[in-house]
Amino acid sequence: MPRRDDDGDSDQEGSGLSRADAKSLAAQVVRLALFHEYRRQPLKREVIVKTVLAQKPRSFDTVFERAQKTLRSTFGMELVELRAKQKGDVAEMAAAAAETQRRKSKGKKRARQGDDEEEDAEEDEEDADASKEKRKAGTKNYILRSTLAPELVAAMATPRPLPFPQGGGDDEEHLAELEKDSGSLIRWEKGDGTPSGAIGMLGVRTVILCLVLCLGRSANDDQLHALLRRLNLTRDTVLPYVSEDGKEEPLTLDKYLDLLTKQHYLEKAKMPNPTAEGHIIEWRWGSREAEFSENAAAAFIERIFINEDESDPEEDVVEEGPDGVQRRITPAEARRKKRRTLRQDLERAAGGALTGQV
Amino acid sequence: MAANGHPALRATDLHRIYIQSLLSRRAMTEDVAIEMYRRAVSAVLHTHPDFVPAHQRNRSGLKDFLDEISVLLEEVSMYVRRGQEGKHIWVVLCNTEAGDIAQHATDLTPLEITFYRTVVEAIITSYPANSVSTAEALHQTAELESTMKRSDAEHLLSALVSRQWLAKSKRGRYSLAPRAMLELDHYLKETYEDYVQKCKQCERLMLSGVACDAGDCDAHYHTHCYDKIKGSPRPKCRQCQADLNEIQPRAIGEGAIGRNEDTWTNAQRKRKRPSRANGNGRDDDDDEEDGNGASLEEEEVDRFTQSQAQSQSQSQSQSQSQAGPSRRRSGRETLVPDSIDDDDDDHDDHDDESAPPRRRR
Repeated sequence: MPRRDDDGDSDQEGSGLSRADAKSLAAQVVRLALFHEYRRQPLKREVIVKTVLAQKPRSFDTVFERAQKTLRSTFGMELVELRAKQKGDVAEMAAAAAETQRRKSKGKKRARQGDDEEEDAEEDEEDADASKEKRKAGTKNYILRSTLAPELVAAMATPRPLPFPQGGGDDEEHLAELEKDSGSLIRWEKGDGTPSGAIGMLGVRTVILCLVLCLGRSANDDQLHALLRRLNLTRDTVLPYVSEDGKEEPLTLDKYLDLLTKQHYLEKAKMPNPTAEGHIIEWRWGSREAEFSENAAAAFIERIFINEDESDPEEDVVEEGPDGVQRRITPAEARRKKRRTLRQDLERAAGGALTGQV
Repeated sequence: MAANGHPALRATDLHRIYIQSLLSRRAMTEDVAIEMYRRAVSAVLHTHPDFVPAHQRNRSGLKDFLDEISVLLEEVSMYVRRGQEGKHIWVVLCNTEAGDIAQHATDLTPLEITFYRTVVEAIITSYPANSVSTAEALHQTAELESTMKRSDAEHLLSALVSRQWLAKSKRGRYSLAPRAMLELDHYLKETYEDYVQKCKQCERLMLSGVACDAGDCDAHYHTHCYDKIKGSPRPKCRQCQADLNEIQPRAIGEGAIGRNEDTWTNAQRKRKRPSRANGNGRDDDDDEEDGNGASLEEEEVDRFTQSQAQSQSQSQSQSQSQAGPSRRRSGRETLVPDSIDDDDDDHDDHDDESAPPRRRR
């Protein structure tokens, strides 16, 4: 419930909202955002309007901006709008992305459009005023993303065993707890209440995303499953990774793919079958690429293929040049070259330059 | 952003990192919290070698740092609570605001939340045990409006333990975990005024520890608070001034009841149908069937009267030690039907336990 603040703090902020009101409403948006992220569920604008701004639907922009400010300064996070679900084939998708980009910048100039998107149809009448103010482009679905420097995020995710108490300690339960703890600042399996929270599931997800990316950003269902079978993952393989925080039973691969679709990591597209009746299923990246980008996937693949800190580093590598002449290069140089080639291969496999921040 | 009343405090990357860590970890023992602080500082130093943290990387430094975190989070109705629960000092990120928004705070369904509430109620009203057996916890599904499968309830219970809302002891008994104690103490004190006890030493909520047994004194103490008093030259009960070196306190919490109660079942129902219990060794299975069975209503009445009787016996006098043994005796009669011998039963229901049943006093 919005808390009224009638202590005479009446300096208005354009939308008929006192500064104190804006602050308290924004705080609630921040809480909503954090709670939704725990469930890996995008925060919808209409939810914000309904739960926080019921009495002040016009003040969305003011309150939202204020919430962003708090999120960035206190939490090192921000709300990012998810892109719309993409239709058509990959080439059309690319064109659509460019179009969205163009419209987004236009939208900033507050181009108003009378007709609403279909996903807004379910909205209540009372929100009609608010929806008129909405920009045409964009999904009005938001997720939280870290604004901290990538090096910091990497450091926060690095596991390192916790030190045991001096003298061993006599509390077995506590010691067992310490042993279970990855020791990283962010404990993934604790920060995600869904079955995708288990570290193993995170790994499976990342591998699937990388496969889809390398299959030209769109993987035929059979194709994807053929590759996953090589990892001993069939459709009804029960993925044995469950976070202890999770309340659900282990999922099968098929169920997990559905969950990833629900969480917007993947998109499942039904395409008409060109050769036969019915349709074929295609897997693509979902709009959560705002969280884990193509470039981040490339960095992940590079880390697997190119070991930064190989144990026998300083020995030169003998390489055969295109002219057939052998020459010696330093390991660092060799890695750089390897990375460049790998990156080219990845871009070729994906069918275009990779996008997003690492 | 400067928070209310602290215009000078500005969040740094160190604060942001630690807040993100708290959001993912929620509840930590202090040793882990200090280690996380050290690691957060190292992370910042790695990117900004000239960064000078304002607080020392030890217990007192962390305390000051956590105060700052609380100030920063005040705006969004969260704060960090620090307090001893059991053997450890805990650091817990707490929500202060209930209501509409807080209901979004969990991924539990309304039914699951009700289940948790019911289990909490069963724990609190089980005084002085302040804990319920596994079977008893699972049986709370019968109290729900819609059905919850037994396997779902089992998964939920273990998730609640992992999330620190419940604690499960080696005896297989559920009680409130440190996070719940620190975050829900307000709710518990208000809702169960007649049941929950405050520690006479530290004034905080106490569900496990000891109570003075001198005369009709019922001063309750956390174990660590009691040990503190016992460590003083002339340990006296804060309430009745009795010499604690001479008074043997009685246990509150799991230690207050015998092990045979760990295999809880509905005593009165059992008595009605002894033949069935004999034919079917596992009490648990019985419970499940009855959850959906026709006898539900009757059983609920039973349970209601039973809990009334319990609270009555409590209001009489908590220090009356007769209540303990007599309950224990009635438990044994129903729990170990003739056909099942004692050892077997023990083995089935808590197989990781080999210690003999402990008696109070």
